[in-house]
Parts: sequence; structure tokens; C-alpha cells
Amino acid sequence: MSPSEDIARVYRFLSQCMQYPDTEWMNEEFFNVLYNLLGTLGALEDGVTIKKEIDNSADPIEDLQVEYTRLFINGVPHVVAPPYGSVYMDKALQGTFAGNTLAFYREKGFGMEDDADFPDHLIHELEFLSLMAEEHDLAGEEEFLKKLFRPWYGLFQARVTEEAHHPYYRVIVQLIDFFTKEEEKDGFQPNKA
Amino acid sequence: MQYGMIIDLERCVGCHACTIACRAEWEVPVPYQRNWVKRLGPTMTDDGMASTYYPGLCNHCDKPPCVAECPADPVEMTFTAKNSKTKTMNVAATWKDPFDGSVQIDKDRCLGCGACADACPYGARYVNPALADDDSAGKADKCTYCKPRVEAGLDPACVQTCITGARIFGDLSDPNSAVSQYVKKGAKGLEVKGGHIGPNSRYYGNKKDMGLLFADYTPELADMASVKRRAMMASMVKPAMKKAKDIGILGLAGAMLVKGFSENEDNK
Repeated sequence: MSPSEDIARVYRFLSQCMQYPDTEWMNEEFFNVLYNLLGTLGALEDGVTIKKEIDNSADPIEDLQVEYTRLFINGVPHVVAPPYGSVYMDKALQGTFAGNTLAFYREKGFGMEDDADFPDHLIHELEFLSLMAEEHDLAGEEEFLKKLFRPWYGLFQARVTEEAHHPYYRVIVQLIDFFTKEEEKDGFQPNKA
Repeated sequence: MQYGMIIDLERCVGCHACTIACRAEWEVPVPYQRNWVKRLGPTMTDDGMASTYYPGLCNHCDKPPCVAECPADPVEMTFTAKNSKTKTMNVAATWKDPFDGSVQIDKDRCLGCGACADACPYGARYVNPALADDDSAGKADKCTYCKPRVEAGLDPACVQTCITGARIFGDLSDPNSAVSQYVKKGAKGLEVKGGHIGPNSRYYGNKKDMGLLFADYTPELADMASVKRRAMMASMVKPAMKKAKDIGILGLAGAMLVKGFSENEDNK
């Protein structure tokens, strides 16, 4: 294992964290990995906050499904934080930003499966970062972060942090921020909530 | 003396015999590799239709960026030349041999941190998990120019096995060697963008194939500050991510991005 391979796993894990909640993967073992990761980053408190919310719920996965839907798919009066770069950069779904993202994937030799979401979906961008790390393409990873990830991610993160009812998503968006941000910023900041 | 290898692209047929010989000789576990052959093209270049291969390996650079990154405690080591001359140097767990110019690793002292692997602009190093011990998750590994074979008077395994004689090994500091003759004819290493690290594995070929190779595989030097930051982050997340892998969470949703789409297919 080289550092890049560990980082590739982190991106892949974060991508999984942003999938629609399902008991198939979102189980006790998953949460233990998450708490463990938060613990190593000095953010055990965040893990405790999530655990409390989950332990106090009759159906924690359904809670998360409802929250996921409200935040990222469809909410009343409107969806809180669509996880697509174009929404923030072009003010439209599937704008030129999505096209530029796909062009970057292709330039690096990757294409998308037919049943994939739009190329600028957060999950796919994290998946791509994982692939870049796996291939030890540090320059590619950094260029992608700078040009196609960071420009919109902060806006997305701010909306989630502001509007999320469940601590899980507030913490996950901050975890993603920690692993994708520029070097000069501070370390992992414990969640205020 | 500086060992070097020439790869004659005019002769390479992309058969992968070199990669297999290397894997067999050094028991390199899948998916890692000490040498590789990548297909390039066919594609139209300014000089015409180009189609070739990129057979890559450690470049045993004049100024290897990997060596400087090794954090292992340096120890005094005495090197002996063929003519029994000796030289003593302080070296970490990886170094450039002062006599034959090859870059080598002491696996007993390697920490397995992988900083060297991330520092190599060619991706020529990997951390071999098969060599894990109580203190590490593996040991750094790479092409040694088959040092034990060469010292026994043999050619490197990839050179011996090459069916077309496309790989030529020898001393670049001897102007009469076959490798030096190739350099005189124009063989060139894949030097990094904007830097000079002096790769000693070099390529010879026609203009369009060389153009394609250099356009596609001229590497950039890694930003060492970010390499170090990654190494630190990686060591923090390693246990949690190992657990995530063990319980099968990673990639459970299935990969939506797949390798194998070339830039040329874009928007067609």
C-alpha cells in the first residue's frame, strides 16, 4: 500500500457515504468504520452525535432516506442542495460544467456507464478522484480538484451544513471537505452542531 | 559507470515477454509491476500516423526524486566497485549506487511508507504487500536493473527474454557501449516537465512514434509538500480504510466510471 492507495480508499469510502441510504451497506459495520475514521481525525464528538441520533431512532435508515431525499433529490418547497456541480456553476442541471467534467474523465481515459448519473454528480467525482489516486496521477487529481471540484463544492457544502436536520450529512460533507481541500486550510474542524 | 537501458521502439512488438519475465524472476504480485508495456495509438500526429508502445521501468535517474523522500534513519554503508574500490556513504533505505548508478532499496530497513512511490514521477515504485512484516504493511519495490543477475554476468531478465532484441542494457558512461551508440543516434529519456532528473532508461524510435510517446508520457515532478501531506493523511486513515475494505463497503455501489474510453471518442 502506498499513501495514494489509502487516499483512493478514502475517496471511495466518501463516495459510498453519499449513496442513497440502504441497509445493504449502511449497517453497524459501516458506522463503526465511520466512527473509527472520525476518531483518528480528532472528531470523535461528531461520531458520538451521529450515534446518538441513530440509537434514538426507531428506524434510523428511513430517517436518513427521508433526509437524503429532502437534501439531494426532491424537497418541499425545493431540493436543498442538488449534488451536481452544474447547479452551482451554470445555474442549471447538465450545463457546460457537466460537459467539462465528462471531458476531463475522457481525457484521462475514463468513460461513464449508461446507468450512471450526470458526470458532475458528487458521487462520480469522488469515484474519479479515487481512480486518479489509484493510478498515482497526483497531478491529475490536483487539477481536477482545483478546476472541477472545489469551485462548486464549498457552495454545496454550505447549503447542506445550513439546512441538514440529520448530523450524518453535516459530518459527511465536512469529511469530504477535509479530504479535498487545499493544503493551507486548517485540519478537520469538529462540527458545531 | 552508469547502467542504462535502451528501448528500441522500432523493434518492440508489444508482446509483453519482458513484463512476464520480470514478474516471474522477481515474483512481483498482481496488480503491481516493475515494468510495463502500454500501447500508444494508432493516432494521427503532426508527423503522420503513429503507433507504438511505451515499455516502462525504473529510470535509475541521475537525481532520483524518490531517494530524497525516504524517511528511514540513514546508516553508513560501504559500496564496492568491480575494481575493488570502495566508497562509504550515509544512506536511508533507498539510494543511488555510487559505482553502477542504479537505484536500490534495502528492504530490511524500508518502513513501507510509500513516500518514494508517490515521489516517483514515472510510477515505477510500489509497496509490495507480500513483503509485509510486523512493522509495515509492505516494502517498497521496483526494478533493480536485475542487479543480482548483472553481478553474476547475466543480462537483466527483460533484456534476455526480449524476442526482438528491443531492449539493450549497458554502461552509458562507456562511449563504446551499445547503449551509448544508441544515445549518439538520438535515444532519449522521458525527462520530467520543467526539471532535470536524468532518466537512464531511454527510448529510440522514429520521429512520429517518439513524438507520440513523449507527448503522452512526459511526466511532471510531484509536488513534494503535497506528497508528504498525503503520506501523513494516509497513515491516519489506513486502519479505518483497511477495515472498510475488509467488510466490503468500498465500491459496493459499483463503478460508474470505467477505464478504456479514449479522448478520441469524445463527442463523436
